[in-house]
Amino acid sequence: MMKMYSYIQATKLMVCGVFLAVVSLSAQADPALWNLVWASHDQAKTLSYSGLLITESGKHSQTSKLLHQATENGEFEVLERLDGQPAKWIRHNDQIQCVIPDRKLILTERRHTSVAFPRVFAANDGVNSLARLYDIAELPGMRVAGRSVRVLKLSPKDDLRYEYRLYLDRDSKLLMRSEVYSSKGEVLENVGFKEISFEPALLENPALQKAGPGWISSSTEVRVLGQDELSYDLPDLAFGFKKADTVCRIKGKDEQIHQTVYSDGLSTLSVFIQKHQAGQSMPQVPMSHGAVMSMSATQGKHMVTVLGEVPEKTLELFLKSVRWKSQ
Amino acid sequence: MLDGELSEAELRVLLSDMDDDSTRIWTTYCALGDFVRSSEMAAFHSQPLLDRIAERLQDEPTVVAPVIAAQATRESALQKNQGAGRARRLIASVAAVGFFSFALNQAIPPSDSQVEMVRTQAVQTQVSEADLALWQEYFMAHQQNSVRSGLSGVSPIARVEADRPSMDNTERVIVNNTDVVEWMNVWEPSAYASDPSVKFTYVSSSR
Repeated sequence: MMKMYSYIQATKLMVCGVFLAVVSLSAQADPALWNLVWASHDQAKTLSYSGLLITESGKHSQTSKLLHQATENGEFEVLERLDGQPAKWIRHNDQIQCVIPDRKLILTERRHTSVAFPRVFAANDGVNSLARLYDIAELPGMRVAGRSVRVLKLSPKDDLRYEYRLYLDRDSKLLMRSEVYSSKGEVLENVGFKEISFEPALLENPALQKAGPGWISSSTEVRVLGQDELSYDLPDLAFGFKKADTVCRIKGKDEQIHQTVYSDGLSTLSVFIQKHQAGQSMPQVPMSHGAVMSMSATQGKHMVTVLGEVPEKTLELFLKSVRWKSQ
Repeated sequence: MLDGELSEAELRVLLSDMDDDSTRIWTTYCALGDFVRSSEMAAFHSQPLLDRIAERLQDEPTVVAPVIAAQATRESALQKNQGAGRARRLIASVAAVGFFSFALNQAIPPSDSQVEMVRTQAVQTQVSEADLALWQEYFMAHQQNSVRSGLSGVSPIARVEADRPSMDNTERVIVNNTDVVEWMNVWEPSAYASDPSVKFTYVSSSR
């Protein structure tokens, strides 16, 4: 009996020891895994690569050809859509052009919020804020586009954001695939390379394109708004999401759309506010497309819409966070 | 001249001095310019192709009324007794083309001739095409500034168009009712909504 008792005790101790070892190992592993995420972020900017990219969002999928070229003037990127109507996107740092050949149209936009880059986290203290909001763990390695990858799982610590899985190339650390999961475990979105080359045929003179004869060029007017120009207040920090700029997209003389972008470093959401126009409304039901979901509400004379890759609960909280100074 | 930087007066002088040879060279330069912008443009400068198109155009009868308008009117009459319907949506989606003003939204306006809708239980939610167009506009504006676009797209611009739910590539589903032979756009309950009350997802697919 005594022998049996000491056997159980020994087993208990051993299990406890193993558990503690695992806990301490995972605690040590965390910074290393977060460092891998930051390294991947840097690599995405500094490497040159080309390949076939598949985007699956909801039931929709799209194949594109991508070339990313690191130049001395920054990043240059060309993305050509392979399905449907021909279209090509050219990006030089924060400037984006969309070339639609059969309409002889070149559209230009500038990414306007500071939150958009760097790739994975928004601010310098991204490490801390992401680690506060997500748990990181490594899953068994896999193969993506013929390359061996490490798989990182970033699980949210609350129910206000989704889970991410990042597939990072073992050699180059480049992000090869990313997946967004709902709390029910469904894949909401999956973007990744189907084929990749790290020795792409580089462009000799990478540059944005000029509209030639017969081509039309167009751009959207976007300007950053100061706090005193707004008839409402939005919190600077809410539920782990940090506010970036509020911009005004000018559609016409009387029609302006305000967009405030929030990010927690991985997920982003936009709060859109515009004056209610006659005959105009937003769908009064929550809408989703892949991982992006939106909710709208009429508040006084304004239409407020929150849209982002976050669960419905987060959208509701942000809808309620608008404080009106005047209408 | 190719960059459009000449004044009108300078351009006039140049054009009046152009002989056949210079015109040919000019056309070649334009073709090269277009080709550099996109290989798709090569087809637009193929002389045999242009000749064939010109020939076909000669033979085409003159269409006085736009096809969409005619179709919308016909549908409107057809659906008048059925309440909300396809005609309203067809007309609305024509408006939606003009509604798009964001640069990237102009990219691929919905192709009305391809949008076929019928009223079903799923479509009974009051979402008009104009509502949808505005939603798409928000969607695109969001995507361009999404951190995730940088992260998951590997290319930040990858997502912008790839993600866009549009009306010309929507999921086509046959309704259970066998009498309904038409195809439709579908609003279906969102699988990810936590609220059990009626939620709808805009389903889009290239299939």
